Amino acid sequence: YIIQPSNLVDGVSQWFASTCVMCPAGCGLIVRTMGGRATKVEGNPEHPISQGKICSRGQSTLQHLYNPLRLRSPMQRAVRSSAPAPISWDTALARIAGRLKASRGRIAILADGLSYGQSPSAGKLLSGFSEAVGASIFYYSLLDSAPWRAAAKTAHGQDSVPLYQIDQADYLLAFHSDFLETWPSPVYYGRAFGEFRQGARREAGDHGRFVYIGPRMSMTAAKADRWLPCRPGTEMAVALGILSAMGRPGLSVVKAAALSGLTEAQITRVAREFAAAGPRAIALPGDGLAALPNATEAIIAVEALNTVAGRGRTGFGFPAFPLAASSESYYAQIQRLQISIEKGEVDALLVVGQPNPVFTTPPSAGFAAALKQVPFVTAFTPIPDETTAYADLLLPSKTFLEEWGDHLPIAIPGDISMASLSQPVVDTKYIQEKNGSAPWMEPRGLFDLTKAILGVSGKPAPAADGEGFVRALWSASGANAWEDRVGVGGSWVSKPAAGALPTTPALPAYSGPRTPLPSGEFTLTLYPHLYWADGRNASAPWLQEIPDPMTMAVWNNWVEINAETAHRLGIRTGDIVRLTTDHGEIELPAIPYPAIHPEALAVPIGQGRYDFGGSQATGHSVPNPFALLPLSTDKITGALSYSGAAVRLSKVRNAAPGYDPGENTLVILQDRPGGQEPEAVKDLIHATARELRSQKSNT
Amino acid sequence: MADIRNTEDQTPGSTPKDKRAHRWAMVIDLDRCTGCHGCETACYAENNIPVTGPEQSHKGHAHQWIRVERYWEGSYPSVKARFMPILCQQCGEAPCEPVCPVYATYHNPEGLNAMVYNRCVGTRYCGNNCPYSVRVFNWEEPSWAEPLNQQLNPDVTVREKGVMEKCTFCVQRIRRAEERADAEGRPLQTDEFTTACAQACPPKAITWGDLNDDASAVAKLWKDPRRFRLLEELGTEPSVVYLRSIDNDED
Repeated sequence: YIIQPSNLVDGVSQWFASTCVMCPAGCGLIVRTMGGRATKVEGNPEHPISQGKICSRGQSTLQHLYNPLRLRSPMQRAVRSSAPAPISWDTALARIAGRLKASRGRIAILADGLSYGQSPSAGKLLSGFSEAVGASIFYYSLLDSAPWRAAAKTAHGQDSVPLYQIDQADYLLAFHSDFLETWPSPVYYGRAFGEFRQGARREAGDHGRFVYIGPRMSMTAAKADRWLPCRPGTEMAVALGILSAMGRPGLSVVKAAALSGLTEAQITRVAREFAAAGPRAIALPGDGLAALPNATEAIIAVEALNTVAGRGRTGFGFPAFPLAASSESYYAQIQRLQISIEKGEVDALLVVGQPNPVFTTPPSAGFAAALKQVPFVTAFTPIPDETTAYADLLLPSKTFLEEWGDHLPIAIPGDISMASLSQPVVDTKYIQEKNGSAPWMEPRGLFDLTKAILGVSGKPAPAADGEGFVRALWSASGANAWEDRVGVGGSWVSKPAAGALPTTPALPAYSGPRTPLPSGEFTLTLYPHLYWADGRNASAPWLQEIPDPMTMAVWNNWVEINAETAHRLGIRTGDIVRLTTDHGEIELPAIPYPAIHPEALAVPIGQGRYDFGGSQATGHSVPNPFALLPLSTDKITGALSYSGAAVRLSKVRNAAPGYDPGENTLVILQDRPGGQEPEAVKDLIHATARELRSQKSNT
Repeated sequence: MADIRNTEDQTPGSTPKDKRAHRWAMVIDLDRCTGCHGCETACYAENNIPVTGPEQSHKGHAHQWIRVERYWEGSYPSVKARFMPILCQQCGEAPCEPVCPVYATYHNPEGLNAMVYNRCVGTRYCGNNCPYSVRVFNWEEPSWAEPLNQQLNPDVTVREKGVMEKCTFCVQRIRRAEERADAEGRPLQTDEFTTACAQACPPKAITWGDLNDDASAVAKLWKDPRRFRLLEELGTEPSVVYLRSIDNDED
């Protein structure tokens, strides 16, 4: 080292508390550093959400920090389509300050809804900055809680995402809710699910029961005692049918069965079991519903089940700071921005973080085309992406592991008031160029960037440094010393529980699909993948090489087709198929999937980035499934609906023998012949609850 | 140190007491396991496991020391998928050990199947003889695109091309904890540390610890009525016990 990082002792690990911002959950992290390098990210045992546990994404934040694709210095494009060339920070700042001054009042800031929209300090910083330079702010990220919040407001009078205490439940009823995989909080629910299965309540009584209703058996559905495959998009009909079978207003069981394709007996049995479990039953809406064109209404129907019969297992915690972001859905903000651009009202656009709407909105909606019309686009990001490809100026941003920041988890355990902190755990300037002393990269934090721009423009900064800014905001709340909060990674205190949940809300009428699909058509079910989320995590090599839990596929994207349907169409694993809609077509390797409704085709979201999982690392041409989508939004909140499009399927060619990136070879790890359990473990690895009861009574 | 393999009581269901200070063991509750592969990522991070890329993965050369198998059962719509994490079972009578011509894989005094990487000459006999397919071979020189190499764990060796490797029960963590306890002049405390996979696992499906310590969580779960050991009929005496998952769908 030329300058040694402070407090460094050779050979001794140092641990720093931080907060993960790779999904909306906001889990607590502790980062192990050795010699100034971060070597491992683990769960923070003190954090009320993650309690020492961590998912694959959280661990891979290390590969976000040390990603070879990171922007190393400011870059400038002479012409939009040209390759960017490095420039100095001073030149870049002078250029951006000049443009912002000239465009005052005609400036837009597009900020990452996930890393900045859930951060009180970043929200305050950005709003102060935009006021100073005369800009309007828009937030975007694909995973949008707006339908969930709107539904909770109708059903429970709370404008936030509930956290369901499933560890206290005896009966779980999930409606297309992949709570163990994606948002709102996979680590919290993973932990709580372990307790639901084998926790304290199980020692006392019967084994809990978990029923999953949805068109595709996800990893979460695979853990259910019973999977009920309904027609895609008809989950709401099932929820209404169950309500009516319990003697509430809803939709008659006959109608619910006809719409969903489930039998009346299946629906009434669930209703009977749900009612019998009383306050120990929980209904879970989820990401699958939030992606539908009737998202808010579908979630209200499921939440209505949680208000029946004195349930109290749905919790709402309290963010320690008011959320800066409005309740407007992310996609509604993108639409406002787009209209404003199309009217010629935006002369300069500053993209902050990785909102990446070019990757996660339907191309047919035209956001990329609108971006081209903006005279000056600057992107401030750790890793270039599809949206920053339209930028004139690219500025390297620090990741959350390198700067001061905070985060409000999207859902907080009931009776707790909390916010989470992050601090710089490494200083990447100590990564030296090989055979030289120049730093490998020179990223800046959001605070430093805004301060520098304001400085060039002759305006004052709100604080001396990033730490001072966050600290000033935090010192206004609570009594704990700043050092204590940094040490544990945030602030959490108990608060009295919210009152009882209101009675059954006014139920919306069924608003899902009514008619059977025309022959040859399927319903496209896109799902945010548990590793890649909205694509921001796809650049981590670990998350490409660790197999998908259900298909065991790596380094590629795929389409899941009902196994019998695939057989009928002559489609085998790895064959290349074409998916076509009125808006586009893509070719993907096929996976005949044993557990998906025959009307559904499922494709994970997150692959098809130009970097990992795309052509750069694999040589494969991996398409982005958003290319297929029509523009469809939730009619109440305007959130983007990425599921439910009508799609046609045709086979293009057989899988090529051997590995051939030009042929888009599907790589599957560790699949057993025929995909079945080997005989050796068949009867060993599971038992029925009845068998165990009789085994117990015999001993 | 003397060979202690024949001195221990390996009766299923009993907690063996032998001359060793510790007997490291694991219990994996399949009813808790959600199949999320968090353990696998933790293992990559802790043990400097190289990422091999799609072409090597296609050849079956991917490097997972712990893998989560997924088994299908039945057909649509009465179909089940089951998950099972599989790692080195740290066998008491390990089939990999006697076939190594250079003693690169051996039984250490605490009952672990240890690898001495710089003895390994790459015959792969051990991998062939392992009934659990948990040993992986370095077919290529491992590499980390800069600056991904910054994340490497300094406590763990990076293995070269031509060397066999596998789960060590995070032996570096055992050593670190022992050294810390020695330095503080005290014995190891019950469950004061654990492996990377067990530490990460959100639903707490993986429990790891000292079977010789009656107070440890692993010693309590070791006798659970749902227990079984993988391919136990081969007589390998695994140190990993699985607990069966439960289907509860009868009326």
